[in-house]
Amino acid sequence: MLFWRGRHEVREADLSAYVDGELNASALQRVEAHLEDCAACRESVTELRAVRHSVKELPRAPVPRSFVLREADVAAAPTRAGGGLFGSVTPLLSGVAVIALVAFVVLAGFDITSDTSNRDAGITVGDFSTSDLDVESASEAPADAAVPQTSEREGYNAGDEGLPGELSPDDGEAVPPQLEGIRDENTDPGTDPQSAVASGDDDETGLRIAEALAGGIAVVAGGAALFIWWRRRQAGAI
Amino acid sequence: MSGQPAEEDHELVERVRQGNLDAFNTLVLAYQERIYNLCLRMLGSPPAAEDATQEAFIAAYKNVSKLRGANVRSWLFRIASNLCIDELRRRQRRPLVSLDAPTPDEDAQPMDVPDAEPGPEAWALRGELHEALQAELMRLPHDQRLAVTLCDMEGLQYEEIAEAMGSSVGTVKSRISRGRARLRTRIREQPELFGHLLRPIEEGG
Repeated sequence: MLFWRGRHEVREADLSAYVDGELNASALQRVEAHLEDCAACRESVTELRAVRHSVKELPRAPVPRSFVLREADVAAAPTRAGGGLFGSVTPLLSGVAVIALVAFVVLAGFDITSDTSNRDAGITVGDFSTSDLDVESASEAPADAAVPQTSEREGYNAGDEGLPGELSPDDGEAVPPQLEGIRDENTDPGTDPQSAVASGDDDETGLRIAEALAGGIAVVAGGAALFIWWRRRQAGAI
Repeated sequence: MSGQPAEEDHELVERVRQGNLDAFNTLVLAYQERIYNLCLRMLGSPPAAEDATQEAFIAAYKNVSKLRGANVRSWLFRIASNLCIDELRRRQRRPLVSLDAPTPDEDAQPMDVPDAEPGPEAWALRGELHEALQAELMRLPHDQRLAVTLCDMEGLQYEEIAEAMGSSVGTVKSRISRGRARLRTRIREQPELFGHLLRPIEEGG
């Protein structure tokens, strides 16, 4: 209201703070000087005092019961000083996030490595000829390329969720059916080289899927842990 | 209430920080009336205030390690304030039960708050006035309601209110001012209800 009367050196908020005794020395002096000359502001101060008084005079209710806590009221032990910010859920989420992140980094590393080794082996469809010698030498390379992927898959599956429907997390020796098929094909002289290449591609696809999953889990678990920590900070209020 | 120091005995606070339940309950007994009344003015109903108060003390006990210094009052008010605001936001997200609910908080019930006035007429009038004023408080935006309640009912200074609300002193000053301005307007609009409420009050009131 005061604001719209052109330049008015004292705002309503100042008058409210004045009523509460919350103005510093210089502001207090300014407001008191102004009040001497401004009837409208004096009227405002009167009304603000009345509002404050009436809220203050609202009856206080006695407590309906005692709020003293019993052991049973407190589900978990209080966080000791220095015990940290995390509850029981966030360490688990953080752990999952870290494992998934490590897995992602490892997988990405192997992905890059296997891309490189594939290029070195010179595996292209055009490389395959009908001669037996060529078939055998070319078929060695996918097997070699497949081996690190296998052990890396085993390592990946040691502690984490496996690819759905394919790998068991508990079975460190598990070899995915695709790779099994590749191995058998590669040791068999009659192997169709193109299917070996196709299986190599399947490998890469599987690897990409694993990377995406690991990355996704890391992001989701890490995000959830952060969110819970933030909410606890808010609610825990300090 | 007014005689309560802002800071508690350091030894007591240290025991509380170690998780000593008996020590903590000493604080509960000292502050429960104030916390309950804050929740009552914020949430508008005794059952809701009771739940919120219980929750506040449980949350405080579980977070004793976060208690810094000996200003228990600010710490407890902060926990209770956050809980009340959270509850009010939760209510807002629920669909309205009645379209002609007079207040934004449709859960607000008339408060059966005992009054010390002796005469029946005075008591009735006083009760109506208080209920009307409480209804107007419930119409305020949450942050303004909280700021006005902490200042006028609980007698906290701006600095402490800022701590309780997690905002700056300037914001607190603004919220209190706007809250009072709204109350003032509503009181003026209903003279038949509020009568001479805005008439001169002697200084210090």
